[in-house]
Amino acid sequence: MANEDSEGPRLAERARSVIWAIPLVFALAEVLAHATMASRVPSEQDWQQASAFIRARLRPRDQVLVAPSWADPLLREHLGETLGIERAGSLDLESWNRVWVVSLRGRRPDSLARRVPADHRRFGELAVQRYDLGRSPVLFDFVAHWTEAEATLVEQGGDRLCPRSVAAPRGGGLGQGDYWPTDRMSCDPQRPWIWFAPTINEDLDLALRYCLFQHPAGPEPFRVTYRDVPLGERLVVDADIYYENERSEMHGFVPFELRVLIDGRDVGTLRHMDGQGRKRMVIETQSPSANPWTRADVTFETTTVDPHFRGICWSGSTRTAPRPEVSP
Amino acid sequence: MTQSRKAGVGFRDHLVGLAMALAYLGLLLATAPAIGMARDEGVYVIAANRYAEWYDLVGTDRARALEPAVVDRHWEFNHEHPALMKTFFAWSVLADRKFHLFDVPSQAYRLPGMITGALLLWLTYIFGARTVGRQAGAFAALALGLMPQFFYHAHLACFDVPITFFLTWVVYAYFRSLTDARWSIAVGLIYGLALATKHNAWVLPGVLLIHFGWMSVAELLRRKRTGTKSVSVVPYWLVAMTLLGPVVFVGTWPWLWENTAARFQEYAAFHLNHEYYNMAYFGLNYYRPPFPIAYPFVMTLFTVPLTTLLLVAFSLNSRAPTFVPWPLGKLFRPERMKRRDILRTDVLFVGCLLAPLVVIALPHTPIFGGTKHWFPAYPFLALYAGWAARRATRRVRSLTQPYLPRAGAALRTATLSMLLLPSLVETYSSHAFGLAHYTWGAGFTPGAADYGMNRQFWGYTTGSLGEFFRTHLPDGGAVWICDTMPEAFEQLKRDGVLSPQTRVAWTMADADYAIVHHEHHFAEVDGQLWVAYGTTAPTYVLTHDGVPIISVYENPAHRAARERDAR
Repeated sequence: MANEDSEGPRLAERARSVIWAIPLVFALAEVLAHATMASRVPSEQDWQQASAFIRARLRPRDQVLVAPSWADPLLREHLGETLGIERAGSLDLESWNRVWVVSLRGRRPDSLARRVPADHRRFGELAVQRYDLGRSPVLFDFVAHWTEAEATLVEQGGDRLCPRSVAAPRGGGLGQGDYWPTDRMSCDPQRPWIWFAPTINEDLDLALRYCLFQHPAGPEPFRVTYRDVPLGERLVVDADIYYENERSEMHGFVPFELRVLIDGRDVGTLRHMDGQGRKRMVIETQSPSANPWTRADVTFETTTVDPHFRGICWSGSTRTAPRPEVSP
Repeated sequence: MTQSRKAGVGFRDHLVGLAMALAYLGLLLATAPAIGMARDEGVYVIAANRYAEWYDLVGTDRARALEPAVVDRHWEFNHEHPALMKTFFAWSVLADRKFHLFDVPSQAYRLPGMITGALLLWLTYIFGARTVGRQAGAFAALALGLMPQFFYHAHLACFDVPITFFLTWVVYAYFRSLTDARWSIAVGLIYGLALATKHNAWVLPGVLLIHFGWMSVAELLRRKRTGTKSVSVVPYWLVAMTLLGPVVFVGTWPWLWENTAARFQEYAAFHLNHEYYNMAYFGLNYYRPPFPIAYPFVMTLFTVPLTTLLLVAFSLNSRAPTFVPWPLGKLFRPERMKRRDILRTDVLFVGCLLAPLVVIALPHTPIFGGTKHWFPAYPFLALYAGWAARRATRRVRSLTQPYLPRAGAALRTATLSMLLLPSLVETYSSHAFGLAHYTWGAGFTPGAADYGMNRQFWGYTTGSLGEFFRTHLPDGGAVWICDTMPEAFEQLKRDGVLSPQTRVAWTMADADYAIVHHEHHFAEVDGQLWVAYGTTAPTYVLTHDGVPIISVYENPAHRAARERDAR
């Protein structure tokens, strides 16, 4: 009995000692975890092999993504000029027939979570997967065709043509907003900020979007017209302004409007308020049974009551019926 | 955890502390050149140079140097921060000019900050030796020095490690004053130095008052019960703080010698109405209040080695009865309440640990500075880790005693070393990307990137591009430097990191190369460069643990011109 009495406290004491050994096990685990993390960092060779594999198979309507997205600079570094600004600043997957994904540590983009890859290769610590999405519904991308557009500034009812020209670039730096490219359409030397051209806009989610800068001049429209556009079934347009101007209420919640006209007929207006971020408008252009290649002139007009800090950047396309959803 | 139990701390302990401090200072000096100068350091370098000019003038024409206009001309710059550390930077630079102490000029500015980091290890050891034991104190000092973000900041000509040192020193002096009133004078003087270092010092008296109140109530109750007196309940230290603190503060800051009240108001208003900057946290870019209350706690979890934090958790769990009101402790953990600590040391330590975190957790406190703003909590965090480490060595010893009866010292050393190993590995791995480095709690740096945590600030990582620019711009050229401050960039040239002909480009179009520091809100710069240079492909991406830190873009127009010239 006496032995049993002393055994109890001894066991309890021993258990307490074992508990205090947990930090030691934990320390070992932490060192091993660090070594594991370090060993899973893709090497330069992994990146080169993966990018060479993709580059050799890339088609014009292929998108390339990396998961997790923070590795995007490394993807762009290794794919070089192959990637291009259209892919890097693409809004969604609608423009693409196939998607290549470079995956680190088994990650893949949320937008492809429900799809099964058609091809899968491994290059050291990187995996490359190909997803076949089917034919893209995009018929006409307004950003890609910007040089075919005609920009005019409406002043007291009259139109002033804004020709395409080479001008000095402007911008660059934190808080500076959308960069002014050298190649742009502008028409008012007194108001050089009124121009039309593709650039990159940082939206409220801090994502970079390739879009058309069309700064409104005021209540009278700054107008851009595309001729002979295949209408498809829908016209999808996304618009926003530079995020700091929006989040900081730089000019007191002044809304802007982006009006769309087809052959001069008003088909929809996107009205944007500060804080709404990137806003989408979908316009039914024709009935689903109509010929998607039916063509018309499409006009985009930007207006606002006060143009300060209202640098609208929009992207859009005409599209056929959406691709079928993928079942989970 | 009482002073009386750990009596006998003396000369030998100070030798141990000094050895640790010297070793740490040597380590900091050896590793500093790899760390590029940070944005704020650039500002303090300018201030230190102006102060140095003033001291030169004091040496040649003292009367003129003391003219208000002359004082203002030299001391007005960067008056949002007190002058003490910048004065030390200036003295260090003057000493370097006279005695040619350093091959790398920025070391002269950084030395005083490094010394405070080294002294803090010494102080932590001594404080630990007095309260939790020598082993625990030594472990605490090393655990503190090997926190990756602390290690990074300990290199800098900034104020965050210095204020941690001075605040810990104030707490130490206060702790000593509880049993020896003569230390009260030291409390006042050191608190003045803390005030003269950074405004974090404003909070400390509140923490000390809470502890003193707690201890005094317990003492008065005890006196009533036993009729004997153990500690004084007269706050001599507070009197000294109130009288001496402001004198030292104003005395070390010549800018305050004129219009003292108005200028102090201006200084205080700057910090009480501090602007808000961007800070990424779980994928969101916070730029105005309310800020997430959990921020300092999560960031501590994500940046301090997890083993150290586990030891702290063990320690706090075990010691909880000592920093909760006596009846509660007695109710839940009677076995821990047998020996009462009359100084209520745990109340003091827990207060000093929590106060800096709580201040940053307030929803309207700006969170732009990451972990550095609650560094004053870390010596106490380390002391609790030390206490648990010592306990763990004893427990491991008792477990292994039957099998390894003669291996006591070796086991103790092995246990403490094993518990410190994650800190050593992570600090080594973090260098020279201290702000970008995350520990196991976040899944390391890649895990933190997955979570969308801040990757850096201050543009200091440009220093890690030295080899790239020396190779690609051997004869100099223009670099658009993103978040790096021009003065910091100039310092990289003076330090030999960059070719002397390398210069700052003020526009992307004028640059041979442009860089992007990867932070969430800097994404726009990436996009601007895609448009400016017509490419989305960086020439080079600097990484830490595979996570992008800086992208370097080459201006194709300038490249074409260089190639044309070469032909």
